[in-house]
Amino acid sequence: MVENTPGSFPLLKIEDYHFTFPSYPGLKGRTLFKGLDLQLSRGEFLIILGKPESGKTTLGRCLCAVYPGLTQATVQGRILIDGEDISKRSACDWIDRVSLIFQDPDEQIVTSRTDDEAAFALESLGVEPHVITERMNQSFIDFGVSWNKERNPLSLSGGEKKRLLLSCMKMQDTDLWILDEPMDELDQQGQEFLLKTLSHMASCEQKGVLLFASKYHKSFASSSAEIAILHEGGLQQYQGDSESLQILFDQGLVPGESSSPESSGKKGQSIIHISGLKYQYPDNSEFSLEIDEFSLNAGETAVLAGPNGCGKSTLARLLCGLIPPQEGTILLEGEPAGKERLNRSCGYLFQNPDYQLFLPTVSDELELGLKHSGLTRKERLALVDEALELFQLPGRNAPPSLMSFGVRKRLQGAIYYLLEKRLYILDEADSGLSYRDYETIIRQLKKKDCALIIITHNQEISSIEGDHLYQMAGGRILEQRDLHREYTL
Amino acid sequence: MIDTLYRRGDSFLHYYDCRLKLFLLPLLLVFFFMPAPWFLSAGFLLFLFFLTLTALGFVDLLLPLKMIYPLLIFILILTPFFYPTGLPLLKIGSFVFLTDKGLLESFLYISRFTGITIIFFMLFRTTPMEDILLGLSWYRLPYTLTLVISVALRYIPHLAGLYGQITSAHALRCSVNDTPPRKGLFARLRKIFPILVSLMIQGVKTIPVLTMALELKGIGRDNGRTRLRNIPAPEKRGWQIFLTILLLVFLIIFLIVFS
Repeated sequence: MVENTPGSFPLLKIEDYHFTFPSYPGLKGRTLFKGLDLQLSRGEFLIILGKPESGKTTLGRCLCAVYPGLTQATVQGRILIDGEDISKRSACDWIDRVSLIFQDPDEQIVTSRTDDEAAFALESLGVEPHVITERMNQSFIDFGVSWNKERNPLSLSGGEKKRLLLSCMKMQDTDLWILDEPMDELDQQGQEFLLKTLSHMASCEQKGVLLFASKYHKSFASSSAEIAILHEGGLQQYQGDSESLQILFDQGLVPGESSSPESSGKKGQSIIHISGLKYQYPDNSEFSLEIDEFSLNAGETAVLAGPNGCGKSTLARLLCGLIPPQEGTILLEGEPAGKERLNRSCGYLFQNPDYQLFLPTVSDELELGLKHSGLTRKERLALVDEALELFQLPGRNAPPSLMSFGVRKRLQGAIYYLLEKRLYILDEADSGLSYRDYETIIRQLKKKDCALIIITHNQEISSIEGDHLYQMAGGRILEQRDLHREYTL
Repeated sequence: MIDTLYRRGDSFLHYYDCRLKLFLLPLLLVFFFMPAPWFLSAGFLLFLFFLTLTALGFVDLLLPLKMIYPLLIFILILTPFFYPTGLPLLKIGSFVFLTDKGLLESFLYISRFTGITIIFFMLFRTTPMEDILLGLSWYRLPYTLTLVISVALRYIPHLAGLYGQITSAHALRCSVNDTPPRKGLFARLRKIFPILVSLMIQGVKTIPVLTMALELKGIGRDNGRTRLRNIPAPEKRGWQIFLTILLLVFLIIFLIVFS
C-alpha cells in the first residue's frame, strides 16, 4: 500500500471539479467550475488569471476546505492534497499544510495586536513560543513589518495589512500557499518583492504557490511563474500568444487605451486648492500628514501614488470632509469649504460598495441621489436609464444585495455619476473590478465637468488615465509630474 | 474585522494587572445589585466618575455616557409609572405621574446602569482584548470559551466602527446643488434608517466570514494551544493587590454600616 507521504503524490490535484451555488428566489444558481482539472507540485508557482466573479475566490476557499461548508453548493469531483481528499477533514485541520490570504485583509484579521495576529495560527498548531518569536522576527524583516508589534492591525493601511498577512503566511510555513489578489493595495516595491519572494519560496523552499489575480498581467508575464486563465469554468494555459491575449482582452483583464480624449476638456477653473494642511491621527503618533500645496482644476485627473501608509487615503478623506484638518485651508472653487460643503461637492468611491447600498432595487439606489435635485420624476428616470446603460447594470428592478461584487461596484460608480460633484476620488477602487469595468467608471466620471483623483498602485492605470502624478511618502507630496506632457513629448 | 475600545495610555489603570481587573469586575457589578441605600450607589458612581476622569480624562468620561444617554432618558421617563405609591410629586387630576418612590427607583436604575457601563468601559478602554483573553485563560477558562467571549464583546465596538464608516459613506450621497435637507428630530431619524439597514447587511455578512477566518487560524483543532505572550507582569503588583483588597473592604464595610 502506498503511503500518503509528501512527495509520493502531487502536492495539489483537482480532478473533474464542479461547483454550483444554490438558487435563491430571484437569483439562479451560478455554476463556477465545470470539470476543472489542475495539478500543482512542490516547487511550482502558478498564477491563475480570471475576471472578477469567475470563481477565483471560491476556488481558493475550496482548496483550503472552508468551502463548500455552509454555502450549500453542489460539488462534484475531488481536491487532493498529497493524495488525501480535502473533504475528509475540517479546514482547521489543514492549516499545517495549506494557508490562504483573503482578498480583503479586513476579513481575515481577528486580533487587535500585530504580534498576536502573526502568532495566532502557530499557537493553534501548538508551536513553541520561542520558535514563534524567531519566525516572527525573520518574517517581519522579510515583509517590511516595521511598526510597533502592539499596534492594532486595523489602524494599518490596506497595503500594510497585506504585508502583515503575508508575513503570517510565511510564519505558518505550509506546503501550499494560496493568495487571493495579493497584489491589490501593495505598492510597486511590495508587488515586485512579493513576486520575487513567491518565486523563491517555490524554487528554493519547494512550496507550491497558487496566486489568483484579475490584473497585473504584465508584471506576471515577466516573472518565473506559470500562468493559467480561469475561463468558462475551466483552466486554460496562458502561452503569451495572440489567442491567450485575446482571451485576456475579451475578459477585460488587460487595460484598454487612454480615456483622456473623452474628458470634457474644459480645464482651467480651480476645483480644489489646499495649503498648509496638517493632520495626525489621535491614536497613531508615528504618522502625520503635511501637505504644503496641492491643487486641481476642472477636467484634470491627478494620480496619487506612493508606498503603503504614506497618507493617500488620509488626504482623500480630508478632501471629502470626512475628517477635519488640524491646520491649513481647503479652498473649493476658490472659497474656503467646511465639512458640509466638502461632503456635497466631493465623491469618494469606497472600496466596499455595500457601505452605501441599502435599497431593494437598482432604480431606487440610483434615484435616491436625485431626490433633492429638483428634477421631475420623468427626468430622473431618464437619467437612471442613462446610467443603467453606461455602467452596464442588469436592470431597474435588479436587487443590489443579490448582485455580484463587481456589478455592485459599477452601481456605486453609477450612483456617483448621477450625483453632481466637483471632485471624485477613486481610492484603490479597482479592487474586485476588471480593467474594463474600472475604465468604464473612470471614463464616465471624466466626461463630467469635474476633477478626478485616482489613488492606485497600478502603474498601467496611472499612465493611461492620469494628467498629473503626485508621488507621496511619509505623509508628504515629494514630487509632481505632468504625465500628459511626458507622453506628448 | 474586529475592533476594540482599547486605547493605549499610561494611566495607572493601564498598568493595573488584568487578572485583578477581571477579579474585581464581577464583584463591583454585584455591588450595584446589593440592597444598599441610594446614597451608597450614588457615592460609588461618583467614585467611578472620579476614577475615569483622573485616569482617562473628560472625553473618555463622556464617551460611555454618550452611548447610553437615550436609554437613561427612557428609564427616567418610564420607571416612575411603575411606582404609583408614595408621596406624589407630580399629579394631574387623579393620575399620579411621579412619586418620591418612583423618582428614587429611577435614580437607582440609572446609577446601576451607568455604573455598570463605566466599569466595563474602564476595563475595555485600558486593557487590550488579547490581555483579557490571557487573563480569562489564567482563571482556567477554556480557550474556545474565552475566544467566544472576546469575539462577542468585540463585535459591538466593531459594529460601532462600521457605523462610522457607513455614516461617512452615506454623508457623501448628495449633490452640490441639492436643496438642503430638512432638519429636526424626524428628519434625523429618517436619515439614520438607511445607515442602519446598511449596517445590518454588513453585520450579518461579517458572521460567516469571521467563522471562516477563525477556522483558517486553527480554531476547532484538537491539539493543545501554545501562547506567545503571557500576561504582562506589573511592576507594583503587591500594591495593586493591596489596593484591590482595600477597595473591597471599604465596599463591604459601607454595605454593612448603611444597609
